[in-house]
Parts: sequence; C-alpha cells; structure tokens
Amino acid sequence: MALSPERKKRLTALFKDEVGEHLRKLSSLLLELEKGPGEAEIQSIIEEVFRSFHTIKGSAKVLNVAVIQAIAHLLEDLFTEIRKGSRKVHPGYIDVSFDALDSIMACLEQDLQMSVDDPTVVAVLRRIEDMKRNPPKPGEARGRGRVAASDADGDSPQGDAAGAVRAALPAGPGRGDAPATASASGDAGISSPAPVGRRGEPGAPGAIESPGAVRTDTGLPSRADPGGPARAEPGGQPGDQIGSRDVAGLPSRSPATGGATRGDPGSAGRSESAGQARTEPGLPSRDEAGGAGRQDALAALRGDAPEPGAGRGDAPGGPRGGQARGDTGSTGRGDPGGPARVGPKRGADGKKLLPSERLARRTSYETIRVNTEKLDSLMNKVGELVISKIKGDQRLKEIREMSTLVVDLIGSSKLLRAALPTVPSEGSGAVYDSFHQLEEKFQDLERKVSALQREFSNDVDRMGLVSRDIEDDIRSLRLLPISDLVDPYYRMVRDLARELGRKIALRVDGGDTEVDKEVLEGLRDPLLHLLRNAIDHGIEGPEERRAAGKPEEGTIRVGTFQRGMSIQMTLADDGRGIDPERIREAVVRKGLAAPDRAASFSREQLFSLLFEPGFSTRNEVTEVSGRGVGLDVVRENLASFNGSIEIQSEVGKGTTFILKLPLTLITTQALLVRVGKQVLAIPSIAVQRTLEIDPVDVRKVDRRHVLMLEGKPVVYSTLATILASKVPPRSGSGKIHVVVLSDGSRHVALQTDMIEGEQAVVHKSLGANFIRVRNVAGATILGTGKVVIMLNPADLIRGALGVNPLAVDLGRVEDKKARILLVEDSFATRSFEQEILESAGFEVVTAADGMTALDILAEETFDGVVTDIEMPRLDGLRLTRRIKSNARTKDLPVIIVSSLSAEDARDRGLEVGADAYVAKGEFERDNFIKMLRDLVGP
Amino acid sequence: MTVGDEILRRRAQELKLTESTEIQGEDLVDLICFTIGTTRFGFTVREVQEIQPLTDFTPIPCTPDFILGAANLRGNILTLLDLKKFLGLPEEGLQDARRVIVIHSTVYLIGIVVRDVFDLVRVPVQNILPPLASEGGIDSRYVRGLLPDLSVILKGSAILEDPRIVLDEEGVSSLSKRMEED
Repeated sequence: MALSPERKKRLTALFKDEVGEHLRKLSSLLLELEKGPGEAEIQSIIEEVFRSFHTIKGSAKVLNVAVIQAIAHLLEDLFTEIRKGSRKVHPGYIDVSFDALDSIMACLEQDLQMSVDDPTVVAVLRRIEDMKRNPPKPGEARGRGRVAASDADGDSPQGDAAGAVRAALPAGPGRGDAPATASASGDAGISSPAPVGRRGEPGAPGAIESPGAVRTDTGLPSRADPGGPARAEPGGQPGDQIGSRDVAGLPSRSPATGGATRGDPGSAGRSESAGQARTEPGLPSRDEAGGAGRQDALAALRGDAPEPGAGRGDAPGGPRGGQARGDTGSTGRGDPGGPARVGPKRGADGKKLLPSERLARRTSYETIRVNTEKLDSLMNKVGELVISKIKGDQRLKEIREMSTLVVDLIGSSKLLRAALPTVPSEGSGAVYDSFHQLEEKFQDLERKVSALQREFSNDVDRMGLVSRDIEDDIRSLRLLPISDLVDPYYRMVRDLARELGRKIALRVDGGDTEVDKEVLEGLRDPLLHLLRNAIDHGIEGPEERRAAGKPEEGTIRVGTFQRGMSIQMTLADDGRGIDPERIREAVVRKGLAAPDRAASFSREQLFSLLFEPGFSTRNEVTEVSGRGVGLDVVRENLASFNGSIEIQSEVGKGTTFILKLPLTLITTQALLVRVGKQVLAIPSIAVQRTLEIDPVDVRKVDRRHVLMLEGKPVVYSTLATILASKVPPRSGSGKIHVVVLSDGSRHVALQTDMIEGEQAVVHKSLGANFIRVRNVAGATILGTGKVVIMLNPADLIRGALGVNPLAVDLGRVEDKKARILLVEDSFATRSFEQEILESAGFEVVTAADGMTALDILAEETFDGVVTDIEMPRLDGLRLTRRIKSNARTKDLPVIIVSSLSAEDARDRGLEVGADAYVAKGEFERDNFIKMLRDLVGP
Repeated sequence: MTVGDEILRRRAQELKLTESTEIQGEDLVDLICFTIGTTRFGFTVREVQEIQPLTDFTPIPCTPDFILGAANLRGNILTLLDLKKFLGLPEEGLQDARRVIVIHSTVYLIGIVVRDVFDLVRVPVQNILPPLASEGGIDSRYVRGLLPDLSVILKGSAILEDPRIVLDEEGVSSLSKRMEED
C-alpha cells in the first residue's frame, strides 16, 4: 500500500480518536443499561449501542484493523438480535461488551498492532460467540467465563455473590494449569486471559467487584507466583499482589504468598473457578510472546501506570480501582493506602468502576471535537468585529474632521490676535489673559486630538489585523488534508480490482492539500463513484492492456492542487477511454435525437451528454460510464456545494474527470453583481468569465437568445428574468455587463446591470426554514453589515436553459402558431422533441422541470403542454395535477410523453387528469402530431 | 410589589372595560403590543426573543411575497415576515416600519416587521376575549384572543409552525440517496 508513514499515522490518529470517543460513549451507555432503565430507554440505548458498534466496525474495516473489526462485528450482531427483540438484555451481555471495549481499547493503545490471534482477543471473541450460541438464562450470574481482560466485577444484581466468588477464585486450579509456560517465563504468563485474574478476595465479594482490585491480583501472580502466569492481566509487579489484596480490603491475607492467597476463596468458589479455568484453557498459554506489549496496553487501558513503580504516585490521582493496580510497584506493596480504600468501597456500593472514567483518564486531549455550529458562531462574531473595525474607520474619519476643525480654530484665533490692538487698553488685561489661555487650550486640544487620531488609527488597524488573523485561524480549523479522504481508497481500489481480475494502482498527488471538512465530506460519494467507474469500466483487464501495448497494471491518478480560493481535483485513468461515437450511437438508439441531428453534435457536446439526467442510467450506460447512479447525480452533488465537473477522454488512452471545488465553505469567493438596486452574490467558482458586450452581439438562434463566445453559441438570458425580479431591465444601447456561468459542461451568459467586483464572503444559512429555495443558495453579510443574497449557480443555469422569455415574446409577435409548453429534463430529448414539434408548425417553449413549467404557465398562455414524467423538482404527474387543479389552466390539454412502461404511465397519467399519453418511441409518428393538433387546434 | 408592578397593574386595570376583579398573580399575562399600519397587535412576552430597530433588509428572490427579506441580526441572517401579507390583510404599506419583533420557537426564528412597539402590558387572562370567527379577516388559528381595546393577540407559535414558513421546493436529489435506491 502506498500510504506514506505520515499519512498512515494521521489516519490512525483520527481513527483512534473516533473509536475512543465511541468507547467512552459505549461505556456510559452500557452502564446506563446495567442500571436497569425502563423499556423505552432500553430500546434507545440498545439502538445507540448498536450504532456505535456498527460505526466502529465500519471505520475499522476501512483501516483494516482486523481485531476491532471482528469484535465490533460480533457485538453488532449480538445487539442486532437484542434490538430486534429476539434476545433479552442480560447482564452477561453487558459484561462481555465491557470486555470487548477493553480489548478494543487495548488494540488502540497498541497502535492497532494487535493480532487477531492475540489470546485476549481470541478469548473475547470466543466469549461473545459463546454468549450468542448459549444465551444466558435470566438470573444466571455473569462473571462466568470471563476473560481475564475483563473486569472482575461480577456485580450483576442477581448473583453477585456467586459471580464474585467465582471471579475470585481463579485460584488454585486455574493457576495450577497455566503455569507450565508461565513459570518458565515469569511475565509471559501475563498474557493469559485468565481466570486467574479473578482470584480476588473471595471472602468479600463486594470487594472483588472493584475491578481494580481484581485486576491487580491478576498481574501479580504472574510474577510472584510461578504458577501465576495464567492471568492476562497486566499488573506486572509482584508487588501488586499484596497491594491488591489490600485494596480489596483483606489485608490480613496480603502477606500470604501468592499461592496461598489465591487459595482463600471458599471451596465453592474454587470449584467454579476451576471450571472456568478449564473453559479458557488454551488461549492464555499461547501468547507469551506479545505479552509485554499487551500487558502495557491493558494496563494503560485500565488506567494503570504502565511502568511499575510509578504506580503509587498516580494512584491517588484517580480514586478508581484501577489505580490499585497501578500501584504495582514495590511501593504498592508497602502501602495499601489510598487506593486500597477505594476498592472495597466501590465494591460495597455494588458499583463498578466506570469504564468511561478509566478511559477518560487515559485519553490525551491533543485533539478535540468541536461542533461546527460553534465555529460558525465564532465566525459570526469575527464578522461583527470586522463591522466594528469598519465603524472604527468611520470614527477615525470623524476624528480627522475634528482635528481639521481644531486647526481651523487655531488659525482663526491667530487672525483674531493679529487684529487685536497691540497695546491693550485699560482694563482689557483680563481679556488678553483669557485670550491667551484660550490659545493655549486650543494648542492643547490640537495636540490631544492628533494624538488621539494617531493612537486610534493604530488601534483600528490592529483590530483589523487581528480579526483577519482570527478569521484565518478559524477557517484553518475546518481544513483537513485530501489524503484523509483518499487514503482509505487505496485498499478499496486494490480489493475491487482484484475481484475483477485487474491490476490497478491508485496514485495520489497533492494529498496534503487542505480543504474544508464539509467539502471533503461532500466529495466522498462523487469520488467513490468515479473511482468505481474507473475500476469497473475504465481500466481494461491485463490481457487487453497487454494487447494494447500498455503495462498490465492500470493506474488511477488522483491529483489535487489549490488554485486561488478553489481546489482542482483530477481523477485520471489510463484505461480504454470513452468513444464519443458510442455516445452518439446511444443517443440515436435511445431516440434522444434523430441521426442527422446527432451527427452534428460536437465531441464536447457528446461528452457533456454523459452528465445529462436520464442519459447515463443503470441499464443503458454500462458501456460508457457508470453503474448504479449516473454522472448526472455526481454533477448535482458537486453543484450542491458549488463544485463542478468536466470530462476529457481519449480512446485507448484513458479518461480524466476534472473537479473544481471551493477551498472552503465558510468563506466563498463571490462575484457581486447588481440587478436594479439589489446587489447579489454569485460564487466565483461557477463564474467562467465576465465581459461587456454590445446589445447587437446577442443573436437569436433556434428560438433562443444566444451570445457568440469564442465562436460558440452560449444561451443568453437576463438575471432579472431568472430571478423574476420586478425591476425593469435597463434600457439603452450602452454596453451590457454579462456573467458567463458554467457547471463544467453547460454554459450560460447572464445579463446584469453592473458587476461590482469579487470578494471573499462568509456563506450563511438563511435560517432553518429555508430548506430549498430556487436560485438562492444562502446569504452573506458584507463588511458594512449589509445582507447580500447568494445565488445558486446550478439553478441559474437551469433557469437560463429552461426559460427564455425573450425568445417567447419574439415568437409571439412572429405568428399565431399554436403554442406548446414542452417540459423535459433531458437536454437531448428536449432538443429532439422541440425540433419535431417545431417542424410540425408548433411554437415551442421549453422548461427543464415541472417547477419551471409552472412558473412559465403563470406568466404566459399556451395551447397545450407536453411533459415527461420523471423530472427533478416536480415530476410530470404532479405537474399535470397542478395544471388541472388550477382554474386558469384546467382546460389546457396535457400530453404525457414517457419511456415508462406504457400501461403504468398511462394509468397514472389519466389518474391525474392528463389528456393523452405517448410513449417516447412513438413521438415521431404522424399520429402523435395528429393527436396533438386535435387536442390543441391548428 | 414594586412601583413598576403597580404601574403595570394599573394599566392592566385601565384596559379593562368590564368591572374590575381581583387580579390573581398566576392569571396575568404579559403582552408586547405593537402596530402594523394602523392595526394593533400583541404577542405574549414569552414568544418574543427581542425587539430590534429595523435598519436595513435585503429582499430574497424567488420567495413568497410575505417574506419581506433578510436582515443582519448580530451576524446571523434573520428572515423578516410581512405579517399583513402573511395573514392576508389589506395592504397599508410598510413605509413606516421601524422595528422588528423577533419571535422564536425551538427551531425557527422570524422577525416581524412592525411600525411601532407601543406598550408592554400585564393583563388578567380573563380579560382576553376569545377570538371571533374571523376578526378583521384574520384566520382564527393565528389568534389567541382580543384585548378590550380590540388589539389582536397573535399566537406566535401558529405563525412559526405554519407550513408556509418552511420554504422547500423539492430537494435536490442527493447522490447517496440515489445510491441507496439503487
């Protein structure tokens, strides 16, 4: 795998964060569950537990962490059954889940290096499976069969004692068996899962429950007692033994040597423990090897001090039983002190140590998760700061005016003094004195005002700088490297290629490019889809490649680089490429255009058809592009955050998709344009260019207004029309300001009244009630505090292509043909149908969807409507219903044209009041035109 | 009882045209009274988040006519509602609109543009008359009741929960949704 170590490290860190968070959540959920909440609560807890395990499994799968994946998978299954009600919640499940959490945590602590063969893992897995196979009967004590790794807290309300005892005893027998190996290598034993661990202090069941105590013990035996190895538990230091015992509140026993201690438990207990020991026999012994590492991990996980000796120190820090174990070191032995108390106490409560608390102690808070709302709110406040800065500039201007005033005053006073007689007359001395004082005060004022001006100017500048810095910092908080998105795909590409018997390598350039988290998330589906397409259809099999003189291994390159405030991502394969001729064939075959018209389509036009809705459908397009979802949806997805996509392809050489995305969503580069009095913002990423044209440059071609740009016709409309703005369009013959918008494959030119310039703006939501408003993407607040509406370029493009009232108006003047509103979302089909209708003598106005059609119907009159069924926003059936339920339009004939199965569509169409139905294939037939004439008149 | 309370209480008393009754503490309701055009309205204090001067707002294209526009509320966008249009009352123009009453529910925040906020009154609940079938052409579901001076006490929640407030023109199809369907 081509993961660089840094990336891998980064991904691992992210994964650990995420899973750690889930572990903490799971711990508290499980604890809640254990408290025995009401039915409804149980349901919701189970639901959440299930989802967490599911998420953990998913992430583990992506990163290929087999241990975590396996554990989470089994538990997800288990909780699925509980969720479905086919199992009842049993304390045993909770125990086993805690064991599982511990193992997952251990795996995290070991930097995901744990092997699935690790005995503790094997034991946990086995235990979950046992649990699934033989559901515990209600009331049965848990604690049984527990892996050493698990807590010893056998505190199920039912059967505490038993559990405790059992736990306590791993004792004699257990230990006895394990040992062979163990004795050989003192620590080795540790790995063993052990029942041994449980050998707590039998006498006091309560005590045992303190996981700390219990666990402690485990460790010790390993060393203290040759036999001991069995316990999987960490402990490490011989000392623990005693410490633990103290913890458990059984000091008397502590002095006893390991063996003896263990023997203490009651005989009943012992026998059980023996059983236990037997159940888990094999696993433990197996693993001496990895022992040390795991040991640490486990220790860590429980909150132990990994290094011996350190233990005591920490212990007090956390009152949890865990520390007891931490004490490990010799100190521990000496002084049963603080921690010790904890154990018993908790035991007495019958409460176990919160795993979440243990986890919490261990978590290092290098990263935090912050709700994006908080960042947005922060950003808002910076916006306020910027406004204050602007106001500050205003104040500064006022101070300057004041300063000028003062200077004027001083000037006036000088003139006055000059005009005064040089020799004061009698009695006027006081006046002179006053005048002198006045002059001095003016001087003083002047000094103070200019000082104020200077200082204030500095302050305002500084405020501006700092707020800009804060803004940048907040923005950077939301940035993540592209590699976070792409890295998991290495494996997917490899697996998918292998499945198809292909050899494909994924190469990533510019993985360090940072983009907004939301952009990254928005890219996930489109990128996955494009990758799948490339693997599935783009890259040939090895033989075919060899035959074509290419290396056997195909390559998919994902390159990302930043260009100004946008990101360009290319996804290129070196596969067979797309043959435009095959698209042309498909167009004709599907009846989207007549052969002669199709023949006139340029290469670019043909490629852009791939993004048309209804073109690349599941059944039809396997040969050219995707499976499942068409590229139209990829485009729409990208458009939803102002991204665009283009395709380039050469037969035999490969296909390249070029995605253009905004760098961040909080600030967007926007072009400010003016329509009438209103200033509007258009995301710059969708703006291909701006230009000034002469009105005569706009021509009417094919019933549309078109602007010739670099020799190519571009559909032309006015922004005011699309926005249904009541503002009268500017008249006159002067230059017109035009913005050319593009979504990669489609271009339109829009007339505005003025182009005000480009600036970075903060994208804001219009409020929770604005779910989807045509043409409106949101708003922004300019530095002056003024709210400006941010337009949605994808809608504008659709609007411009679909509605062209200018053309309509001219058409009306020209003749008195019957007017048909043609509603069809596919550009190709629409052009085709339009052509047929026009050649039959109808005047045709087109709309790309039902919503647009309704808008047009509200403004103009028609003699008939011809509509497709499947369309975005408002489909043909609902459109028909709306037409038929409106008093003004209810008599308007509606003809449904659809490729859907005839009967179904006909029935549905008639149900909503359509007057006729035509299958797409029959469109060209004379009888359709005849029927249309019958319905709408000449 | 503070002086303020006393004043409010007297005012409340004055508002009553019927014979005075003992005012029970829990039976009082605080109302913010305002005018739009020449009509008097009221909201209960609890429904009102704040009152702001109306400085500037921006029309939002492609929205119903009762959405007056968007204003800057401390860096957030506040939607402004033309209440008369919303309630289908005859137009009187908003030239003299000076203030915005921000009403809120848990989900939505809406600014109602008004001419003036003229009073804060505390009224005994029993003095609020039940809404007539159609008081001055206002749909009774938006009306909580009437004051004796014929001020219309509006139900802020009914305005905020009105489906017309939620603007959703058929969502854009999402890739993941389509993928799932496949």
